[in-house]
Amino acid sequence: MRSKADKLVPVLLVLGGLLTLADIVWAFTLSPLVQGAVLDEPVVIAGHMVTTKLLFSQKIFYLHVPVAVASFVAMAVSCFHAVRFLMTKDRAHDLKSHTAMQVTFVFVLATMVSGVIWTRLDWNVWWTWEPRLTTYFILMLLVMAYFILRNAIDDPERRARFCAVFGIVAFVDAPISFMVTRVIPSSIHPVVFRTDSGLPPMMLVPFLLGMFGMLMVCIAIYVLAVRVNEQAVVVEELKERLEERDASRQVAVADEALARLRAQGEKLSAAEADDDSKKEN
Amino acid sequence: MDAILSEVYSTVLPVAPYVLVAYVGIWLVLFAFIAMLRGKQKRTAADIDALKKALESREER
Repeated sequence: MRSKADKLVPVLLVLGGLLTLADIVWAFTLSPLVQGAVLDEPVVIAGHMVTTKLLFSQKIFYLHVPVAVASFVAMAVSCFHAVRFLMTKDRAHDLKSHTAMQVTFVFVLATMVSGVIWTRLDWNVWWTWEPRLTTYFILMLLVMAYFILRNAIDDPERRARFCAVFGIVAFVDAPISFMVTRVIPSSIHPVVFRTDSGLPPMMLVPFLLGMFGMLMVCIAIYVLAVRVNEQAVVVEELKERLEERDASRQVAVADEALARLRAQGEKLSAAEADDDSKKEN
Repeated sequence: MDAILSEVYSTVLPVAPYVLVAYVGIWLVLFAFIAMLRGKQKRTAADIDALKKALESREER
């Protein structure tokens, strides 16, 4: 039977997709282009005086940042369930923490793909050791290390405990990566989340649409992934029950065979004893 | 083309395919994961059905 959360998945996916689509359409049609270097002399384009180069690459911002924020949110959910697991020892929290980390990895990957292309466009390099990029790269490595650790431990109890602790420690890097541009100002990653965001409404509105849309997509993916991982656990439990049943059946068959052999043995020894007594007589 | 206009468009037209690739790349990663989840969901649902039937048949014996 489908739960309420299951029914929510397609709704959130469609709604998130529509909001993101609105973000993209708005960003490419109504949002102004960001101004770059000053031109040698001004020029009139479509009735507008243009005095600087126009940075089309900045359009990546409208989806790149929402995806990055969604990765932080997913990691926060993983950390929350890791803490809950350590408090309650309830394996359901371990499953949710693990699932949220899987979703985090997917969103980190999507952020990296778009970020690397943006870096290539604006600075002509594929990578630079800038504070935000470096801390986010470390975050990606920590998420990968989480899965390596998870696969390295066989005992489910120890695996859940170690991974919960590692997940919490790894999450420390998320606020660092988010806040680093406030501590070390960077021209590459301006501070977007502030009371005076600096974004004109025509840029802020599509950005917020993309933000809510991507968060909805993130929640939908998380709910779907939780359901899939829960099903995988049920499969493992059913397999174990089947193996136990087969094993107990085999033991019963072996016991029956042993009892038959013993009975035959007793019969044979009784017959031998009869023969011996007849010979003596 | 006018030198100034080509200077203006130098940061617009050549980067357009890259911007498109960035957008497609994000959705590609997300859709690939969703497709993987849907595939796994179908496989595990089939496994659960088969295992439940196997358990029932053992219990009937």
